[in-house]
Formats: sequence, C-alpha cells, structure tokens
Amino acid sequence: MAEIALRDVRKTFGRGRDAVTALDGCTFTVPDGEFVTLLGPSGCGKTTALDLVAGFTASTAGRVTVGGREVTRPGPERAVVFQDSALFPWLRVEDNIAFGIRMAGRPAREIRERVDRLLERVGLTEFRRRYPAELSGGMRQRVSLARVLALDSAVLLMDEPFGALDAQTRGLMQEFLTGIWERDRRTVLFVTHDLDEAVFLADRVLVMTARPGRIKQELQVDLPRPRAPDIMATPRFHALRDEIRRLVRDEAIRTMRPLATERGAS
Amino acid sequence: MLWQLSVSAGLVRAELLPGPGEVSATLLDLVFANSGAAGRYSGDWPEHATASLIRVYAGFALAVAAAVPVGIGIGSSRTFERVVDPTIQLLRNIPITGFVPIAIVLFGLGDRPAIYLIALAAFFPTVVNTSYGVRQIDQRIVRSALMMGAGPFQRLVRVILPAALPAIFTGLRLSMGVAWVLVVVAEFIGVRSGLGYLLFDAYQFFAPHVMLATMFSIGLLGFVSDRLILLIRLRVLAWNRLGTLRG
Ligand SMILES: Nc1ncnc2c1ncn2[C@@H]1O[C@H](COP(=O)(O)OP(=O)(O)O)[C@@H](O)[C@H]1O
Ligand SMILES: [Mg+2]
Repeated sequence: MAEIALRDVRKTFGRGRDAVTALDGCTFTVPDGEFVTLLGPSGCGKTTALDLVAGFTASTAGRVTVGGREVTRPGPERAVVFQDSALFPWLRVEDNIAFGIRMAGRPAREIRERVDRLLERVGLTEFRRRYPAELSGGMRQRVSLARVLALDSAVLLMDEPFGALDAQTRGLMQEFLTGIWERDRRTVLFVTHDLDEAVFLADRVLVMTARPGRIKQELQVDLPRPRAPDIMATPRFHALRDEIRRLVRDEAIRTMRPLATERGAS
Repeated sequence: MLWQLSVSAGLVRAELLPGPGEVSATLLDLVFANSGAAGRYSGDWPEHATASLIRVYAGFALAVAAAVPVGIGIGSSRTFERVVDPTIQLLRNIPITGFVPIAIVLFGLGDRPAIYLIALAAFFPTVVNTSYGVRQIDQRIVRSALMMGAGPFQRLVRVILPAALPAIFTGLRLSMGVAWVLVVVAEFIGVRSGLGYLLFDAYQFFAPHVMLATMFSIGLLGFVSDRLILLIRLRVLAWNRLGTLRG
C-alpha cells in the first residue's frame, strides 16, 4: 500500500509580516496505484504540496502520510522528477541512472544489468557515456525518469516534468510516460498547469484553488486505457477538459483580483 | 623587446638594468654553472629553488587541507558560518606581511615560519571560494541525492564536493599564486636558503643581473605550478569543460 494522504495541511513560509501561507486546509488522497494530476494556476502551492510529500519540507500544520506513515524526510520510496532535470552534471548518463542503485549498495553486476535495461527502456543506450550538458531537454528528462525508475519506488512524484519542453517533445514524453505507467501502475502524483496534459495522463484530476491552495474539485477521468494521443480528439476528452478549464479559469481570475483592488485602494 | 631596446639605446643604465641577453645567460649559469655569468652565485639555483618549492608546496598543502573542510562547513551550515566567518574575514584583511614578526616569534627561524606564513596566506582564497562554491549549489541537486537515498556522508562526497569542485579549483589557483608571493617575502627574513633569500642577497651585494634572473625564475615556477593545477583541473573536471563549451 502506498496511498498518499494530506489531511488539513497548512504550510506557511516566513514569519510575521513577510509570512506567506501557500497551503491552507489542503486535503486530498492519491489512492494506491493511481495516476493523479494536481492542476492549478501558477503560485497556488502545487510545488509546496509535492515538496511536503517528498519530505523536502515539513508542514506547518496537518498530516502528510504515505502508506499510512508520516513523512519526515526524503527517501527512495518516494521518487521525485523535477521540472528542469536536476541531474548530476559531473556524472555520465549511465552513472546518473546508477546513482540510486549504488546508494542502495547493490552488487556491481546487478547495477550494470539494471542500468542496461533502463537505458534501453528510455531509448538512450547509445548516449550512456554522455554528460547531461550534451543532451537535449527531452533526453535529460528521460534520464531523470530512468534514474527514478531504477529506485523501484512505490510512489512517483513529478513536478511539471515536461514544463520546459517544446510542444512536440512534451507530447512524446507524455505518451512515453503513459506507456511506462500502464505497465508498472505505481502511485503517481503529477503536478502540472497544462490542461491537456492533466487529463491525458490522469485517472483523477485534482483542481486547486488560488493561494492559499486547497483542493477545489476532484474529477474522475473515465477515459479508457491504454491511452494514445488520438484520445485527445474524442468528445469525452473535450468535455472533461472544458469542465476543468472553467474551474481553473475561475481560480486564475481570483489570483488576479487582489491586483485590481490594491490599485483601487492606493 | 621593449626591454632589450631601451637597454641598447641607453635609456636605462646597463649596470642598473641588464638586458635580456645578459639575464638569460645569468639564469643559465645560475642553474647549470656553465658560463660564470652569475659570478659567485654560479650553480646556486637548484638548491635555492628546491628549498622554495618545498616551502611553497608544504604551505599550500597545509592551507588546502584546512581550507576545503572549513569552506565546506561555512558553505553548508549557517551556525558554522556565524561562528567562523567573522574571524576569517577579520584575519583576511590584515596584510599577511603583518604576520611575519609573529611567525618568527612563534616558530623561530628556519623553514617553519616560512611554511606557516605561506599556509596562512594561501588558506584564504581557497576557503572563500570553497564556501562560495558550496553555497551556490543547486538545492534541487542536493534534494535529488537525498531522494535517491544518499546519507550525510554520501551527500558530502558524491554531491557537495563534486558540485563545488570548479569553485574549489579557482581557489587553489589563487592560493598557489599567493604562496609564491609569500615565499619570497618569508625568505627575506630568517632563512639562508630559497629564491627569496637569493634575491635579497643579490640585492644586498648589488648584482642586478642575478636579481632579475631570480625574479624571472620565480615567475616561471609560479607559472608552471598554475599550469599543473590547470592540468589536474582539466582531467578532474572534464564534465565542466563540456558544460561551458557546449551547453
Ligand atoms: N521557500 C519559500 N519561501 C517563501 N515563499 C515561498 C517559498 N516557496 C514557495 N513560496 C510561495 O508559496 C506560494 C506557492 O508556491 P509554489 O508551491 O511554488 O506554487 P506553484 O508550484 O503552484 O506554482 C507562492 O506564492 C510562492 O511565492
Ligand atoms: Mg511549481
């Protein structure tokens, strides 16, 4: 069981007059083995929520649990893929992928075999001796994916992993990720502000409110699997996307409103 | 060129500023005792150079051995920074030559005050650059290591150290430069060997050609030391060169 659960979570950065409350009363669940996307306007607290689950930061109030256990620190049972790949620039592709397996102290032969398999799986076998700086953005994200797949984590946390890629590459990466997930069925929490991406990938979409963020609405995505990009042309996909678009639009407008009133007051 | 021309044209008095030709002949004679051009200093260079090299490299090694750990401490811990950094900033702003009397009082005459002076001076560039290098590490890289199960030791050895290495090398080069400056100053006083001593002796006995030849040789050794560090850097930081050239 690797269910992610946030119960009434608040997260405040800073103190006193500079304090920013990023999350307040944030409650949601990612059921074991589900692919859930977290969608919301930028600055609403998506990264904050993901960092709490990863164990990078601690909540100000409320409970964050994974598999029923309180999250206290980062660890290989909760793998993270960052927006701009946070690969080690001084390690070659193969050593970046091997990093986590080495940390786990596996024997050298097993490491080599697993790295070989993962390289093949992400299609980077011929680039194994390259450094990250020598790869394209899409290739770097495939390495990021491979290095967390190597951990065999029950939970996968992804923070706008394809946000910095061009539209074509992003589409291919979404397809690629869906393929991988449909084989493994890990618990995934995937942060994005891209509507199509949120619907295409998810079993369930969580729409967040403007800051301080909580869950505004939860939508089941009842599209069939396995999914291919042509599903985006179906009426059901459009209906879901349009419904979510309205929800997100309301929140985006609310983020802008303080600007208008501030200007009026001064 | 300019130098040879001004000497030949009589702009500078030849007995005060010998030309390049005379200085090279002197240097060759200092090293190989082949022509007598260096007079009573003929063939003295290897011994003095060895003494200086030992002091420079011993001082440099001591400095680096202390500066890298302290720099990592300052760069990664606010508390450590608050305790240690003010002291370092204060010491750093005292001219190193101001430490000469104290070094002699503490360590007496001979090699030791020279080595400690060099170590003290060479400490600062590496400690400052190391702490800067650690402070500017991308937090997401540290987080990825933690997320993949790295403990405190692995985080230090496999993440902090390699990530700070480019900055550390910048510190090493500056420290090596400072070490060569200091060896000359340190050898003016309290020792009877080393290139600084040779320089000072040639000054006292008015041998400008020997002074110039010695200065030039110090510059050359400093340059070679710097190239040595660059060479190591090139091997250790192959990834960094790629990153800056292509990405
Ligand atoms: N370390 C921090 N210190 C202060 N404020 C922060 C910090 N991290 C995030 N915030 C603030 O919290 C809010 C939510 O940020 P974030 O979770 O990054 O939003 P999102 O990922 O949805 O774009 C923003 O207003 C941001 O400025
Ligand atoms: Mg974010």
